[in-house]
Amino acid sequence: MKPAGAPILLSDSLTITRGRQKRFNVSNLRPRTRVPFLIDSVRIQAVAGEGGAPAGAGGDLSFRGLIALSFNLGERVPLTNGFVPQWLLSPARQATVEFGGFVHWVFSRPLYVPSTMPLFADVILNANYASAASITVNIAYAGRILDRDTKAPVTVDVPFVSGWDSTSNLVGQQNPGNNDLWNPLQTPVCVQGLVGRIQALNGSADGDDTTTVQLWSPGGTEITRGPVQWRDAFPRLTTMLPWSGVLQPGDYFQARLQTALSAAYRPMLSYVGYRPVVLGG
Amino acid sequence: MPAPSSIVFASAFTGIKNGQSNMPDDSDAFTNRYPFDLLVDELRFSWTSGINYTQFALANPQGTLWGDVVRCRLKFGRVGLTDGFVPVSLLAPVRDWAFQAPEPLTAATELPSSWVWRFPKPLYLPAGQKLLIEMGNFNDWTLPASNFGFATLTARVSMQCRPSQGPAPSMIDLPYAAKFLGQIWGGGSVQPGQEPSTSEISTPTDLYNPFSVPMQVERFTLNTLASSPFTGLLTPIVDGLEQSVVAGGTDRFGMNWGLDRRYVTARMVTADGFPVIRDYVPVGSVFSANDRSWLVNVPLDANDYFILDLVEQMPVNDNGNYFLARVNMGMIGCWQAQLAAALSV
Repeated sequence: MKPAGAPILLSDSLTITRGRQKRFNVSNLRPRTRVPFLIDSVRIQAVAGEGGAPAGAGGDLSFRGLIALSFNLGERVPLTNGFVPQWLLSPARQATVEFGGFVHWVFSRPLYVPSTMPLFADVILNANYASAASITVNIAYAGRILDRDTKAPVTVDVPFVSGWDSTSNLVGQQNPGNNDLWNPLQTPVCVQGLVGRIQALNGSADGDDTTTVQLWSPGGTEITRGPVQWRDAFPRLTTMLPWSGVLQPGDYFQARLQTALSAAYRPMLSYVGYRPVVLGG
Repeated sequence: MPAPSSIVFASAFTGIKNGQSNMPDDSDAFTNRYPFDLLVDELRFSWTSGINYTQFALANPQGTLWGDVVRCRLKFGRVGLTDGFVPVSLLAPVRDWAFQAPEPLTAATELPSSWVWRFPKPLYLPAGQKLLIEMGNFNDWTLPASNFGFATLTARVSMQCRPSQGPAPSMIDLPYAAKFLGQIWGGGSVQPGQEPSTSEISTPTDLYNPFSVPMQVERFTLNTLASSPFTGLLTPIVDGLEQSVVAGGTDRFGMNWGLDRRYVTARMVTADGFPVIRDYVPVGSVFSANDRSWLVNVPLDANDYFILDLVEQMPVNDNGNYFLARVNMGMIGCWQAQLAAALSV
């Protein structure tokens, strides 16, 4: 088999503690030879490090929303609006297996990565509880190697996710702002849907999804006619509310939580989409 | 009368003894007896152990020994569609966790498991021709077979088809499943708390294209089977996350509940040494935990192959209780052959 066209899986892992931000070693996340490649999906898995899971974390279960990542193609093409909780990057595929802290972000279109622009990944552990214990996070890019002489496409479809993490249960005080579910870019984003998750801080499972939420699209049009239960907007099977449209620069989605959550839950929202980027421009 | 839009052929394979294989109870069950040609879209497998879950239970193939011992061999004309007997769990990704990793229902409930192999491309089955299907029950684990209901197995296979439109093609697409079956490792003279490391490498004829034409590899699949001679919950020292280890456990009935994602690492290269998985990576980052497969869609030259290189550990608790495990990997694809050549005996 020739190298060009061969599947490739590039991976790196690191250990983090609460509040620490770290960057994965980018030399492990790019081919050793200077060739472009395509990334079909990003796989993220987190396991408790030496000494077990952080106190109160309930094992791997609660890593899902507490680990947040930031991706940037080169220095100036972001795939995320800052740090986004890992399970907001993509709709759920098999909720059962998320118990292992595994997230599979499948790009709707393969991402072309030039040999000169690595895809940087940074991670942070946004746990509410104090703990000195560590978590090992492994990240992998799965895709295909391209021939060295492959002509770069004029435009590249680059995924984009912007998320909101309540970080607490203070309903009424903690709703997404104008700079959360928004488009911070200079170009429009083609939005494919909204993802909603509720983190159970005791790590037992998904949080209480009977709380009600009301959603508005950019311009103030109601997405939900009045408040609906979280699980009706974001069913556990997919956690996604389909929404197709273009989000112009500066536009944003609005959301209001209407029902008080108990102290143990932490709701989170994101929109997922992509936009064409001229890499040389 | 117009041809039906879909047709299902099915048969049971009753009483497959441990270490043996059976042909279908109805020897003509998978013969196209219609006056027109068919396209086979998928095969569906199910099996039961004949015992209820209070004894061991689920015929759960995901991560348990069931994912290893239930194997099939397929032939179309004179062409093998599998590399000998291949564990059914390697033929396709996990599509439905509810039935491929089912939870127990109630006591004394015999719960069948199922697996669906949707071919990369439909298989053309001319009128009068048959698909040869053989189901096997191969248990080479040191754990007593009776503990797991492997003494006798009943399997069922159904073949989902539809009429083929148009004239017979000269070239047809044939699915193919290659396999790497790892060694059973773990246990032995383990010391409490120690997690001895094992390594193994596939051979050039494991993840191999045996044909004289290129094969389109659709995906790799993986199933790590884990079990233990001990009962109850086993808490590895390293991460402190308990796992139910065997029959009678209170939780997952001995399945590999994500153990391999942290304890098994893999590298892979092409036959020319080009890295596919460059560094040792936990298999959980290679094979999506969602479907236990890696979709690649790449061509593999004639007689070309991949080499898999594994470094594995399994946890041991502070009482010296341990897991046994085996890592199996499949390579699923399809290739093209002349219809006449495939059928000539």
